[in-house]
Amino acid sequence: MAEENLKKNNSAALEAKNISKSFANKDVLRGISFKVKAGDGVCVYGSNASGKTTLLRILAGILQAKDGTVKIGGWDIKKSAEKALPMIGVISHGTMTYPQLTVEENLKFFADIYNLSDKKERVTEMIDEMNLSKFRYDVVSSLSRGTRQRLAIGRAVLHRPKVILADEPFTGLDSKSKQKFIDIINKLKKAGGALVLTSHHVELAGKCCEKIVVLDGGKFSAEADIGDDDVRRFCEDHSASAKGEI
Amino acid sequence: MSNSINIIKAIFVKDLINELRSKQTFASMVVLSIIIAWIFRLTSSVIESAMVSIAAAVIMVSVVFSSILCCERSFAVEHGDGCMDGLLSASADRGNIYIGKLLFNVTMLCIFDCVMVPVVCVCFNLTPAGNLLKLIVILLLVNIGVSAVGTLLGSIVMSIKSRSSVLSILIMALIMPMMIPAISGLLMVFSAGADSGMFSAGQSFSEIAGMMAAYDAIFVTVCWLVFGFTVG
Repeated sequence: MAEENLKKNNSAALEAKNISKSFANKDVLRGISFKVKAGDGVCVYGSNASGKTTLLRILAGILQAKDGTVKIGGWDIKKSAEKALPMIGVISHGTMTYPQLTVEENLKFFADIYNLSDKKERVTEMIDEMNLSKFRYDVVSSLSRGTRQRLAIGRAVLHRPKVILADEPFTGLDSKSKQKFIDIINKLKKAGGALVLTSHHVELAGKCCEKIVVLDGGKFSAEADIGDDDVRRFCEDHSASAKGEI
Repeated sequence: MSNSINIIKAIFVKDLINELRSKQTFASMVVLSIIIAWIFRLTSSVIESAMVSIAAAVIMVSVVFSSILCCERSFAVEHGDGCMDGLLSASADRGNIYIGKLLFNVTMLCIFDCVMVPVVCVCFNLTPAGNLLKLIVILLLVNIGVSAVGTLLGSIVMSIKSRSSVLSILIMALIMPMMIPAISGLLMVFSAGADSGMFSAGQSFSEIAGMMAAYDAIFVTVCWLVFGFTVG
């Protein structure tokens, strides 16, 4: 069973049990269960409309699952949302930043929402870490996609989350920005953060994830170490099949 | 408690900065109200006797349609780049998001009133000077009630294609009970008590204001409780 290996890990930063979700009577997720340990990275691979984004939105507490539970650091995301949610950092398709606000104002706003005790210092720290110093007072709408994505990452890790949920984080980034993102994520993982990432790019995901799971038909259909050549071949075939090439 | 206040304040200030920079919503609200006032003024020059009633109608129509614009845009900002998801995943209590948005919408309508009411008074030769406080009370209560409903509905209709028309229909239907005492109150203010409308026969101003405040309390409480189920 694909989920079994992940289930074996005990000290889970994230634990999902029997997650199900349906839209208009169509089952998108069917009993998904897995765990991610602190310091580990898992790539959720799947074709378009396979439910990757839905899964991540449920893990982030944005969407309610029909069935199942999600625990972050042992806290149930529904019952103890005030404890569980601050442990999550979300990077999504959208940058989750306000285009009319400056880089600094965006980070300050989220520092207020997270009620950080060291708001000013942390905002400055993130601006420096994400190489955003020269854009500090620029409104987000004037920034390039890559710079905005760096801000999105800064926003996601501003409150020092224990779990990073990244949905297609490489979309729209040039190779330099992709490498920058991988460096930042690996730094977070070294500090004990767990990562769940969705991506079509297995090679890029392999630079920050140890495991890959394939989401197909609402279930995990395969799971392996990301360095495994068979897995790469499977994902490439899967990707080509989804595009109708084979 | 202080955390909730911080979140409400952060959302309110963020929306205010956003509006100050874009100036989209307020400009649309003012242009709309001027067009409404101008059209109604042309009509009232034909029916001079109904000047006060028409002025009250202009104010109410302007407030309602402007609130629709305001509430719709305040949520459009959140849905633009996945910002609402950011808020929801940032452990922000749904109730706090609602209150922050509500305060912003009420503030926008109050600022709008400061521009729109003098325009209407000039257009219709009205002098509410003696009843200015009463006018402020009526408008504030209307703003709170309309914004309370509009803020909730604004979040609900965000995923609908024809959201403007759906929002208009829903807001109109829900705030109708409050419009009756509101118009009566306005007629009382502008006609200095001479004719306070058919719905307020025998009612004093304090009774009308009390009724509106009760509607506001119901709208705010119910919408605040329901808001959490409409997002995410």
